[in-house]
Amino acid sequence: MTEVPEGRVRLRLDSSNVPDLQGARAVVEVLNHGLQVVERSSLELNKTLELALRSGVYAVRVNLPSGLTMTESVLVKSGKPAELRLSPQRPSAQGWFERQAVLKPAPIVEIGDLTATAYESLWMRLWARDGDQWDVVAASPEAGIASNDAVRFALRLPEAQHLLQVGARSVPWKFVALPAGTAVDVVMRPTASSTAVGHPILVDVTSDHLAAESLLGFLLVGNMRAAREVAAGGFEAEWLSNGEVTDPIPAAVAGYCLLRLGELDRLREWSEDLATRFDWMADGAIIHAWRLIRGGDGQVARLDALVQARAWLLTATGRGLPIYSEGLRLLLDGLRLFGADAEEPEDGGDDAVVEALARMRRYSLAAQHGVQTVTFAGAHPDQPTPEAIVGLPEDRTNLVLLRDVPMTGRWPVIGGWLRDGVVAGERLLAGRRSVRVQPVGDDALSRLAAATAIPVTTGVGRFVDLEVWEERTSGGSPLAEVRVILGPRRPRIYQRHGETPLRYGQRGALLSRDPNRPSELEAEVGQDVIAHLERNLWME
Amino acid sequence: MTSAEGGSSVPLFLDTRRSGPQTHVLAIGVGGYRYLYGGDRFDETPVGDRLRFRGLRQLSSPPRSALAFAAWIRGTDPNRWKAPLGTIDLLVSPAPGEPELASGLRRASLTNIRDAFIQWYRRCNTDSGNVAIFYFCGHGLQAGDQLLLAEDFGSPDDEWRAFAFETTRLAVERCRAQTQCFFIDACREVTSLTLETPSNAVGPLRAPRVKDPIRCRHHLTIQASAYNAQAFGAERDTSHFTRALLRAFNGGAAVNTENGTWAVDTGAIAVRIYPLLGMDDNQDGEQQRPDVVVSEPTALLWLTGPPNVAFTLDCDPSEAVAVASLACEQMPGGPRIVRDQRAALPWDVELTAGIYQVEAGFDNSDYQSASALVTMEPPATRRRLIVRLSGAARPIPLRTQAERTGENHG
Repeated sequence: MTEVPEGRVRLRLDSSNVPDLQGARAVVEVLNHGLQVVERSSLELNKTLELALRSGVYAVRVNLPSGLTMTESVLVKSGKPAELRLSPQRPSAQGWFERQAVLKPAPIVEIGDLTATAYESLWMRLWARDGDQWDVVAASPEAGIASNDAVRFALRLPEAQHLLQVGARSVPWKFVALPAGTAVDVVMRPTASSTAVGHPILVDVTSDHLAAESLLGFLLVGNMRAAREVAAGGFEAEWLSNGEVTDPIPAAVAGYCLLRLGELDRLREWSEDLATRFDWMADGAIIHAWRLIRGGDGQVARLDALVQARAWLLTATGRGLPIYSEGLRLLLDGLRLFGADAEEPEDGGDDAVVEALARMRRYSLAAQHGVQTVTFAGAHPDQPTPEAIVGLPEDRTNLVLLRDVPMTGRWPVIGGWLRDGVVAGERLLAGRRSVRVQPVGDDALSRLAAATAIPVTTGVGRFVDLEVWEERTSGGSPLAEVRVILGPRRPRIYQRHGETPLRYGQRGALLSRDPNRPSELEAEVGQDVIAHLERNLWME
Repeated sequence: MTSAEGGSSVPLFLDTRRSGPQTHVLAIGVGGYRYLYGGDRFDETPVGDRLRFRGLRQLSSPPRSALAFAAWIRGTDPNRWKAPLGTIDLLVSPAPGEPELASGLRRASLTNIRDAFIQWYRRCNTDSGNVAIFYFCGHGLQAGDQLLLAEDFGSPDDEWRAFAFETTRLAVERCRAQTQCFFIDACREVTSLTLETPSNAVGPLRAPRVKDPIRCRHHLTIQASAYNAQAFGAERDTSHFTRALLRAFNGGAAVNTENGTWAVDTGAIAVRIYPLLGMDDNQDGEQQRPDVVVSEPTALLWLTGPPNVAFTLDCDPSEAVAVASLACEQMPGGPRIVRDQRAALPWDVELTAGIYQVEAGFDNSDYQSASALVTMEPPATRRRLIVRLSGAARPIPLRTQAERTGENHG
């Protein structure tokens, strides 16, 4: 028998931004000329995989967690290895989108433009759960980058449930669950106005554990062969030590994957540890509950295991929300199971389960599915609703604005002279902005306004007080000057001197005009704020 | 061919039951909604309900889609299925004015659906090797579960003539059939109607019992539309999703398995259903991303050989394709296929899956001949061969690596 000579293939998947994809995995499949898989292996980006193959023609298929696949054909001969270098970047993607191209499914909708009117006053705020309470907490976005089609920044979050809430002038508010205890990379992209599908802002959230993110990607796109490959191959060692979970985020992702694959034995060792020790997250409790429900293949689950499973599902509900959509699906399914049983008269009902199911169904109704982390619409984390709430929150504590707002033509009510050419801020996420008021008239007030350019230090997109000095005249004589402050709380109106708040709905008090006082404008606000002003200040 | 379980004397669409593992299909297509606008009993619908249900109209596509799905399966070789084809039950409700698509079919009232489901469940429950396939096409709404509406939805006696899909699926997971597929071709919009629906208004076709073990090992659920979105279907035609599904079964979701036999498999259907939807001529299909939940993949349908692949060959620059002699030769040593005549458009050709040497030859032309190895993978492969100008007088256009290698972006 003739010895078939062996050849080699050397494969490398290059990213243009190496640190950004450190640890991300692709799954490589080598197919023979009949397209039968002869080799399947997980490959870390920017590392080289060398495979020994018999001489012949092969196809090398690279599966990315985003669902993208790249196939290259190669002739393998003895001697020099065949070299294959592939790049996962989509042709149109910018360098800092590469992570999305590798890890997140490509949006089915066209990407729009953040400068469109709908995205004016695009804002976000961070909610954290402390005990049973959700509170807005300070967000400190780092490493912000922005362009007209995306905003990207990082958040460092302590171990607690966190939700990012976003909204804008015409963008319904939505919450996105964040994996905590890790640096979280957030990318927001607008959808084109012509697109009627889905929410107008796409939010991709990525933890810094890119192997887990890869697994999550494969899970979402339904590539279970690739998911199994990533879940094997030393992945567990990155977050499991002597049966103890050392990092709950990758553990939760692995748990969801193993449940899908039916590999319950691999869960047995640590699912209870994940559920018990990381009580700030609901995911561990859900995974452990389902491990108990499923018991073993074809085996009747023990009754005490079912009792425990029910308790863990209720525990999960009490802990708030799972981070991952797979968790929400499993939590609902688990509660449906026990709920359906509870509805049988002979079992006497199960109020706790019925109540938990009703609560989670409200989230399900408001949820966006087909995304990796739990995403739902609403004004408050405890009040999910599928109804659209738009605009700027009334309570602006810790609100972060992500988009500057051109103010052209938005101020006809206040003063009457702020019409054209007024731009608040020039860059997204810039720390310092200037505002120049360009008058359209030739009166003294307009000239005064024109002389004013106020630099404002705002931090990274942080909402700042808006101050509008407004002067009114009566019969040609200036009568009043009112400063309006849109602070982190409700808009307030102050008299020019003394700063005594006026009542809403009351026109400014009559004060003497101070012509030496410059007009000032510090603002990053949209039409909703203006509408608020109109409602609260000038509508009698 | 009559139902042997009792309860219904209407024959199944296919009944080749015998002992041992088999594939059992239940397909439901609801286009005619009797109590909704345009229905034959719309007059009986209270005025208030007419307003509440005004967004729901008669549909022409679901009956055709369900029939297309069931008829395609019936037309296959029964022994090519992972578990030989056993039964197909088909319930269809055409809209008023629409033709009866096949004779002797039961209408998809909730009572009939429930009856058919119970019988189907029993058939699936006979053997762990069974394959259970559930297909529904019609109106759907998203409440706590996805609610799938029967033809008598809106009836004055009981307006919520519908069933809760997810809870029904949880019940089927307890069935002995270890391979279970659910294809739901219906909308999932959250409307004011569903918001006001009491959570217990719509129940499952069978309540799951938590004490029963989960026996399903290979599970595939595809809901044609993403949550709070619509599924689409052209009027009087098979729906986009069902067309994509049939393309998948026709080889679009085929893989060459470990034993060297090509098969349509649940894992490949899960991964390829979205690109298969994108192949639809109708642009609506491209904005419909299905929700897929899949577990351990398994083969469903064995193929007799490699599937066909729709291959499109172009040149870069594209002007070169008009003067090129194009050919494909399967490797190693397979047949050579040559484009009949030169044309300005890219060459579309059907090839069997495999690896090919693809060539663009030029006689007395400005271009140099070029060739490349290309993998033809189902469902479709495109390739632009980069050709150089003779004498390299002008540079070739720059292409990114991804463009050059991106043959099958799944």
